[in-house]
Amino acid sequence: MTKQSGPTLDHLDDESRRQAEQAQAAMRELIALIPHHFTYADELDLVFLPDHAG
Amino acid sequence: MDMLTAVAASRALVAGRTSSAALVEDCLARIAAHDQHLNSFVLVLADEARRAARAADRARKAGRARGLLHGIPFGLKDIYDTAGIRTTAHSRLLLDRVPQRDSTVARKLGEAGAILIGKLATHEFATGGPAFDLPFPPARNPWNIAHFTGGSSSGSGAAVAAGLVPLAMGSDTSGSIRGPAGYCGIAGFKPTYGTVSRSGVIPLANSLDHCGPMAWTVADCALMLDAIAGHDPADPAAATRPYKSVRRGLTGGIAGMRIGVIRHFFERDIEADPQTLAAIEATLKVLRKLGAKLVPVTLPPHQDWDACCRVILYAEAYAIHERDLAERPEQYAAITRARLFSGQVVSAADYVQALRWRRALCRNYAETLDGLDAVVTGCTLNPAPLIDEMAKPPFFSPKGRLLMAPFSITGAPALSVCSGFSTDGLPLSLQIAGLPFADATVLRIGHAYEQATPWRERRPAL
Repeated sequence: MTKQSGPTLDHLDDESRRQAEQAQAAMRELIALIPHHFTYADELDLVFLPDHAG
Repeated sequence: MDMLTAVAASRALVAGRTSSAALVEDCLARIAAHDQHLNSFVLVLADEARRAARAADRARKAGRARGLLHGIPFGLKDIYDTAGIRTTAHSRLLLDRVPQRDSTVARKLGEAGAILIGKLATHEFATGGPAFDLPFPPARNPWNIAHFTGGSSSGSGAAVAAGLVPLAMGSDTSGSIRGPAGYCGIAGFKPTYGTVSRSGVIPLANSLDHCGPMAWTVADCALMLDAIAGHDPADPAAATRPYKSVRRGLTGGIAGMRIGVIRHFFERDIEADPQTLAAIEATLKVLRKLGAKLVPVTLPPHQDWDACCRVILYAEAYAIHERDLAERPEQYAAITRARLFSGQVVSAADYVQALRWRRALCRNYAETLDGLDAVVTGCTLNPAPLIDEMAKPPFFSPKGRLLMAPFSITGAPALSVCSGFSTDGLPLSLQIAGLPFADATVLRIGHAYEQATPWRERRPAL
């Protein structure tokens, strides 16, 4: 079974591709800010579950 | 009888001084007179609203008024599904979409007897805007139509500020209620995550999406929130704890409250413009005069909250839009397409690390606010920019000075209130926030502030 191809910037016109690439570059800068100091003990904290009980 | 608040209109209806039909006619007349310049509505439901108003008046005469919202007009951001009524998310992709069922919020407002006047402009899919390459033009700021409304609840902010409707629903994923409320000079409240059902609301990012009211006053926001809040099994994130009326908790003042002031957000992390800064300082004096004890508060820098929020937001949004970005990317506005494509470069590991970061930031927020009733800080840190500047590339980073993300990723209640006006007559704003489920306290502080200041007496000159 082949996976259906996902979105690609290749199908966009030059201007749209440039805009999307700018946005992706800005996103990479944000990703670089994510700390990577989490330990195995933090694994239980993966999911955002506000304290809705009680 | 134009530009009544919802609370005043409700009292007038009960006292027999007006009718729902008259309120609806007033809204429709103001829309006809002004909305060709403001573009706040994408669909006006004049006939339906008139019919509903006549029915509401008949029910009231028969002693069957359903509550305080009975016969009060409102607008819905065009991401709230309405049965049999087009719901487009302001997008070419959904231009012919007619839902079969009401969103929970639309249903609850209908059950409360409120009258839907129409569907309001939004940034496309609650993220891409302002944009001029969409089926509908972008909403404009009633205080000066050359200026931006803020987004994404752009039509809601403009329509309420212009008095076209007393109440509107917005949604807030990373500031989309508070931003337009701030730039349009109204009250906008993002309740605690899970307080208002998102069922039937077109999503942007599921773990961040909040629904909330926008109105001229905090009291009107409280009135609307009481009608729409409460557990809904149709929303997996709906809070299970019983909802308590926030309207009943509005009065009583704030004497003795301990309120934290997060100065570094607006003094260092994002620099507020001088007029906004002066307005915030004046606000703090008012809160002190009302008897609150103000204490300095330090949280992680705003850049951390913002990065964490936007990584999660666009990873989730990309997942929602992946298929349409592959099959018909040309149908999005350029700004929407660029922003959504940013999520393509977030790896699964990046997303998971961002979620872990979010938990750490939430813990920090909860520990820092322990012992405080609320915090105050800036909201929109400049007067509304020119709309044409906002519509230009690059598209990813917001060009306004916005202080939104901390209360988005914590799911905390956060309120934007008007804190004065710039020398150009554009509104300035303040933000009040609390721990999750401290909604009533946040609204009480905002209400006390509004009562102590003259800003609600001034309306845009249309």
